[in-house]
Amino acid sequence: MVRRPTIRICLEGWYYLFVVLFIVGGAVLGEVNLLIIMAGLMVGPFLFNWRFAQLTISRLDVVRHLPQRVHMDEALTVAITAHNRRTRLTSWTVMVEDTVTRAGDGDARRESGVRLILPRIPARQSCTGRYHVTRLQRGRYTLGPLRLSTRFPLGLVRASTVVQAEDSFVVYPQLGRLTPRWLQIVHARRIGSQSEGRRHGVLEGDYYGLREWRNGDSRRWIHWRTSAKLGELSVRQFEQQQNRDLVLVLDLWQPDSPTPQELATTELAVSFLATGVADLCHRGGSRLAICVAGRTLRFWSGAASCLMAQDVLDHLAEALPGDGLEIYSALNQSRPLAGADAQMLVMSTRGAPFLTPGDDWESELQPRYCSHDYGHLVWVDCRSEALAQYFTLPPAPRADGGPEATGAESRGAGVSLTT
Amino acid sequence: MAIMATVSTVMLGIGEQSLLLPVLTLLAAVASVLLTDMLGWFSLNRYIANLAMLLAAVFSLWGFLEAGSRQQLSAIAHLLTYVQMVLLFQQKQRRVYGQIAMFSLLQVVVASLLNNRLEFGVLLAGYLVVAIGAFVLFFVYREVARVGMIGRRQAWWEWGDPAPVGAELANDGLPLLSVEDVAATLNQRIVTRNVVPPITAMLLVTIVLTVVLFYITPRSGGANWEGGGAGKSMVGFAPEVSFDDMGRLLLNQARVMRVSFTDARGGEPYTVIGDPYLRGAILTTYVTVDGHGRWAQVTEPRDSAGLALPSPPATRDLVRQDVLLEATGNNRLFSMFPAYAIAQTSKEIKISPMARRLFRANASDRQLRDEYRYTLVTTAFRFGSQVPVIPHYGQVETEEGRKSLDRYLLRHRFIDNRQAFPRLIAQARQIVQEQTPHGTTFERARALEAHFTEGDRYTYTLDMDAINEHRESGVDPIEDFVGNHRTGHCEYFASALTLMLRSQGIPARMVVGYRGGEYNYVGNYYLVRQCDAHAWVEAYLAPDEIPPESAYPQERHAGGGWLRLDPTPSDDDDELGELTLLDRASKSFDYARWLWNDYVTRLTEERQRNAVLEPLALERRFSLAGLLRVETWKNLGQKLTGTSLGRLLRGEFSWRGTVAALIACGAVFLAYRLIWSLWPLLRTMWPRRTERPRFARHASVDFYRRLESSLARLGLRRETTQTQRQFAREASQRLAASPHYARVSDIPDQLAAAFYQVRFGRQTPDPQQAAQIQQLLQTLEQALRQPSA
Repeated sequence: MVRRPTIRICLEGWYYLFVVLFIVGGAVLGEVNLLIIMAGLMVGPFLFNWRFAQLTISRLDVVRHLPQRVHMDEALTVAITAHNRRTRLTSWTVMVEDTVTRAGDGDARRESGVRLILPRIPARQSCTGRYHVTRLQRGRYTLGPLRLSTRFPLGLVRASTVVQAEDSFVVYPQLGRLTPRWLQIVHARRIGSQSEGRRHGVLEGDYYGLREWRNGDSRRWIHWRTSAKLGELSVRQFEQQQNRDLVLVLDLWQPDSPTPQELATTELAVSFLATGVADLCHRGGSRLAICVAGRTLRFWSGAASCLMAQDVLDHLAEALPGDGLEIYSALNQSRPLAGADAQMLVMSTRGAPFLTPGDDWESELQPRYCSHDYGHLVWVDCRSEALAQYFTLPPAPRADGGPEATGAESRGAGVSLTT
Repeated sequence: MAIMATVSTVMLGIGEQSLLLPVLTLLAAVASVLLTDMLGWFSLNRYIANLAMLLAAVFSLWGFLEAGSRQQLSAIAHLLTYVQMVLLFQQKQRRVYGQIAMFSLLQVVVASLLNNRLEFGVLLAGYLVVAIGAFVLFFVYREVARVGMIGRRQAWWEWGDPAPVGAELANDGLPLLSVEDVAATLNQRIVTRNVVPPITAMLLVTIVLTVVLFYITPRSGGANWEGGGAGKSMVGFAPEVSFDDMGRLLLNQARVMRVSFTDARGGEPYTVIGDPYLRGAILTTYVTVDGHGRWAQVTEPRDSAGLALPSPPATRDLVRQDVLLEATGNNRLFSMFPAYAIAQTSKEIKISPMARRLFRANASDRQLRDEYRYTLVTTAFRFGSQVPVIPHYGQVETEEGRKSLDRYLLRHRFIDNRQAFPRLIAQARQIVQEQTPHGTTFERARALEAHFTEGDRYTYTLDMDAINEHRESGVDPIEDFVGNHRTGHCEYFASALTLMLRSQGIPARMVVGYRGGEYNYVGNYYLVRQCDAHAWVEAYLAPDEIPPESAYPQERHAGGGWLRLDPTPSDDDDELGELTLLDRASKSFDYARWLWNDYVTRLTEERQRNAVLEPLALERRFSLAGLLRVETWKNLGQKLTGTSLGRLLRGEFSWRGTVAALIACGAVFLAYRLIWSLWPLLRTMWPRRTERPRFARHASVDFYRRLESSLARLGLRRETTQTQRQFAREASQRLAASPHYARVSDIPDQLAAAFYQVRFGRQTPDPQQAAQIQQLLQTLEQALRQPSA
């Protein structure tokens, strides 16, 4: 919705008016004809600026284009297109101000703005300007409202209007690199269970959906009826049921007053899970049970698929750490979702104290989780160097050009327990 | 900005008639653009620049302390120039650009106080273009600098460029926002030829607005600033003539005045045949002291007060003379005689009863240093030619008047020192006796005039050395001129004739003033220069001696008349040849200068009323009641038909009319566009009319809209070509045709009638009517909601 243009005199306009006032005063008091002319010559551009800016800013439609999801290490490009509905008048130097706000409470809520110029929007035509957003943090961001303004042609008067065009996008956790150790754990289980796997469906698995055709797809997968309807090739997607079960649990614990290191550990753990899920879903063929125990508890289970990955990543983008108590429910409820022989991998922001003898938790956890009832459990303390055995983040560029240390590299020693 | 600073300094330099500062500023501008802006080799840091400005201020302070407001203004202007020069060599940023622009504007303001010549106006137009271009570029610079991530908002006193935003905010955990377009790309996309039309439109709007503002701004008539004319060199006019000049008299090209002659009734240019004689002073007494002759005026004490100019006789053939007199430093005025006053004639113009000269009464020294515009009418012309005999002023009906005339003529009838002019008197007697022994005074005067003009007896020269070579020492110069060398200029000729006439008992007087001038066909006026100064003779004729063909028929000659005699041989060099391009350009420029003075710099309250407001009927008659009167439009029509535009409208083609028509069309169009553009602003400035009651405002739309939306359920929609009443009738007919809706078929008609009352009849429904309307609507809506069978 476009509001009525607001007219404001700019800083330079006030200075200009001061000079005009000086001249008009001299002209009136002295009755000097040339000063009257000077006053007219200065008032004219000011009034023209006033009216032209007002006309320029009205009857503009603005649309924002942007992707809905982006990873942390990627740049987001926002395109803003303005359409001039006027029949004759060209809009000049329309300044667009957009605001990017990170959703959150208190300190987490951050807002920053950007200005870009649409130099010229001819009548009945459009003009697009773009800006890039980088150094995004995990979470949800909202954009808008848009403020359109112009001061053309002299910059003395500004006409502005606010367009309530609000959009949002989600920043996924940063994806890292999984190590051979990770692949070893996951694939060992897969290889071991491969003989037990059963194929379902006629071809490669159960048919569960359609997608557009890509290079490398078999022609046998083409769904001809849908392709005919859509006018482009569509292929069937199959779910491979190989009965290779894996349980991934993210334990997002964080103290009440976290240190920067603890905050970084949280992000690291989230990235670890996101990378693992993306990898497994990309490979497909596994049955996954995923649990995120943060401020809230959330479960997913089923065959690894792109939809599952997107759903999990959407949640991870906004997942907040909790007080750690949800881990009980997480472990209890996630085990039944997988088979008895499923591999369980817990990615936690805490480690050794959790399983150290003498700890308050020991008497309750050790008998429960380190028993055959829960199969194989790998507990990865994301604060420890053990994380590097499974996962590393790509080094971020530093000011001096050297690679930036990953979170795992900078942490102290942790405990990795495999039962 | 460099060009802007240079042009403003040139404007100042023209006013001060000094090229030093403009040249220095030009050099500084070129050097700063090359060394500071383009190559980046040299720039002043802020502290050194501030120190330089401080020194400039101290330096200018000396000039400021000098006496005189003009000197103080000059000192301020110089300071502004120095500061701009310093700023030009600073690293350019928003603050520096802004300061250069503001100081340049102020410099033009000061220059306008020091200079009001046409050259200033021309440069002002150029400066307008340059300044608007500079401001647009400055605007683009500022806008491009604002592109990118939004940082801290600058305070109002912070003129510098905003600090780059990015790193510090990114460290703060904020996302980094960057814009795709770089500054250079944006500049190229904004500053294109496409930007010319809006800038041109702004220029035109500015010019139109300025013209309107300038001519409607009320003036009180008392300018408090002496203007640019103060201090200019003044042209002189010698009310006395002496013959002791040495060397060659140089032809002084200084402008004295511009005189236009128009038909007093129609306002059309009056074509004058021959050179007009503009009288300045009458010289009565000739005395010789130590061999040097000298003419002087005779004045009386009552001359200083002067008399009001008389009204013209009841005749239709009056010629109006508009004179724009350059600064002379004295109060003497020039005019064709006889001169009369009309409504446009200033009351301060008086005529001395004895010396018969025109002058400005009560003019201050400051006013005398300014140009002066005045209007008179005359009966000096008949069919374009100047009438030779002009009437003698004065009352002769009474005995006292006749005695006064006799006394006056007595002064002009005799030579005081006859023994000093033996040859002159002898020649005069001989001429009269030989040519008109029994002739009238008129014939004798003409015979004496012909003695000088016919044949090659006398030689005209301005070379006083050639005269002095043959001078007889101890002899009166006029006697020597007639009896010896017979070489001289107009004053010799006029003096000799005057004395010859007096020797024959004919009252005669010498008149000095200007003859002719350079006719400007563009502006239809005579440009009179100092070199057009002339002396001629007037001989008195009794009423019965005036030939009827030599006098103006309707003029009053009861007191006799003065026959104009010009004994100076005509100068053949004055003949008009083919005008060269340079001549045309010169005349056009001079005409532009006249217009500039007449309509811009010298637009006083009186001039504004006479030249602008009255022709446009903007004063007194401009009222709503006046607009409704037929006479107003009839008068305006009569005025218009007298102009070039009017002639064009009558089908008589003329270039001036065509140009005037084009300008008028353009002005109307621009005025329309201006009003259209400024209407929203004006609407916000003026209080809105009291709004009608809320119900009426909404009822005019709402209840009828409800009716249409209700009928739309049945597929009844009003066509764009249908009025509300037509649509209601059609709907009523359709409803009546259906058995289910027949009972409500008359409701659309009733609601349409109510709509017309509210919308066009401007009647506000009372509560009872409003309730009735609501009831009708509800009934209709309920009926329409029920499904038909």
